[in-house]
Amino acid sequence: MRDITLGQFVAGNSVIHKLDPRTKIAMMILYIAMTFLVKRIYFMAIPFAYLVLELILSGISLRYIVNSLKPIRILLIFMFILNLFFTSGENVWLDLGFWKLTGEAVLQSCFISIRIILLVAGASMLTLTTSPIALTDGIEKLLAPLKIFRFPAHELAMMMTIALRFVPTLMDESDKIRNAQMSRGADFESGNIFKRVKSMIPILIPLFVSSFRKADELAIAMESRCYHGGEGRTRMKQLKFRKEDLFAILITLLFMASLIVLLIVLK
Amino acid sequence: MIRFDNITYQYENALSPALADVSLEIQDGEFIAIVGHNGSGKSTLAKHINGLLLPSKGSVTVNGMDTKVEDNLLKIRQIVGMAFQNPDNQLVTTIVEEDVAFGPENLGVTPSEIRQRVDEALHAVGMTDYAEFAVHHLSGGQKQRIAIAGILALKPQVLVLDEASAMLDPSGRAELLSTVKQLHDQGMTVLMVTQYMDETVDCDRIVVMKGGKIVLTGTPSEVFQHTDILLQSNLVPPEAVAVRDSLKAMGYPLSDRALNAEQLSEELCPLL
Repeated sequence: MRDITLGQFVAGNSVIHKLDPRTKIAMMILYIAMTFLVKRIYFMAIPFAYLVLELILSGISLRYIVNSLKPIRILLIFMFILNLFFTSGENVWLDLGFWKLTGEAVLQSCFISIRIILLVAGASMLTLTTSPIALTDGIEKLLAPLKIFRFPAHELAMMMTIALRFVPTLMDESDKIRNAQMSRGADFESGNIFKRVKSMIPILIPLFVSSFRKADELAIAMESRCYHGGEGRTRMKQLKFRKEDLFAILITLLFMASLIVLLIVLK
Repeated sequence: MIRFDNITYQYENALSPALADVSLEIQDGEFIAIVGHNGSGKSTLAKHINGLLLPSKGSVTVNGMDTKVEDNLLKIRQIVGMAFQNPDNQLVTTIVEEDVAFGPENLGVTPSEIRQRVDEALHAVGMTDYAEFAVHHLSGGQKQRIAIAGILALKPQVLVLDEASAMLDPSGRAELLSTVKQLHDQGMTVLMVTQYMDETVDCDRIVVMKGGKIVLTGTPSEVFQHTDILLQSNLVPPEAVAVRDSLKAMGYPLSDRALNAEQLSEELCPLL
């Protein structure tokens, strides 16, 4: 439980790991765009090939990708069935009177499922190869130009950093509170869903109160360590855009371009 | 040098002031312990040093700079580093070295110098091997040493520990104390706020507080002669001192310098 962070990072030394987080964020955005540009199932081969290439280069075990898909399996099944029912088509495979199973529907269901799988797998590639801190740094730097519109890029990144830092701490805390309430006879396991949700209140309220106290103490500690906002702040680890980053972006753009060419030619 | 000049402080909605007309001078390089029971005002006093609290009356100056002047605060906070009670609530980032870098990053120090300061600070607290660990995998004592490393990276002259050992287990407390003593030996001024009298034995000076006032100050051997005042302030003298006092009452000729078990046994052995 204690090791859960937002997205699981697997430390490594691969080319992908060493890429600038900004590059990886840009790559993911382009990749998502690719999966949405595809309108026919066989063109999915291009984003799929891109994902496989990234996976091989990163040295991440396929197991992690499969694990990242587990939480969405219900959604996948749901989407698959929904599309079977609501896609109309000519090519009837099975006629039950009230509903026809058509070839087009099966194709559409597979298409949607593949798109979701590719989207989630691509997003997990980003979090698997990028440490949460690098990710927040990357987001801060990418959003920095928006500062001229008074967008709080630094504050947002600092909030994310602190949130990530306190996930395991608050997990521990909620365990403690849960045990304390259970030792006083609180029942978290029986009853219907509404009862169970209601039984979470004795955990959530103390957790909430203690978070405020933590926030207060942390603010004092940060102030004591000369924190005075993002102005004039430097970073120990500088983000560097290197040759490899340019190369990665170019390869991604190449995939994108070939997909667009294919879409135009094979319309 | 830190000077408290007749400071009074009252929390909002409090009936009596937390600090009442307190004056104290702390010399450079001194190791000073502020002891007192809950509500004696010892933490309130400590929080005045770097301007986290501002006195209602009187003034606090650090190297001649008044904490009431807003422009001084950043400079004062570089001079005075402060560690707090809960080790979990003072670490800002997930990774040890990133957290140590937090202070110098705030000051706008160049990246290469931050790197150097972080390495030095981690070395000073003996945590170099943990540089890339996640902070939540560390023990309480280790977290507290990281918190101190984070302060050292600011290159302060004064280290204030506001009950920094209160939430640690005995081994964590010993770890922290030996780190602090080492820093003091290297010339750091240390101000330690604590309830544990046995931590104060090696200090240069002990300040005993009660009800927002200083009731006793002196070297450890002087302070531990006044067991009655300590007990009135709800403080328990170290065990060795209690043993020494009862032996003295029984007629053994022991000096007031015996403050811990070793010193006591040194004086006792020739008598046996």
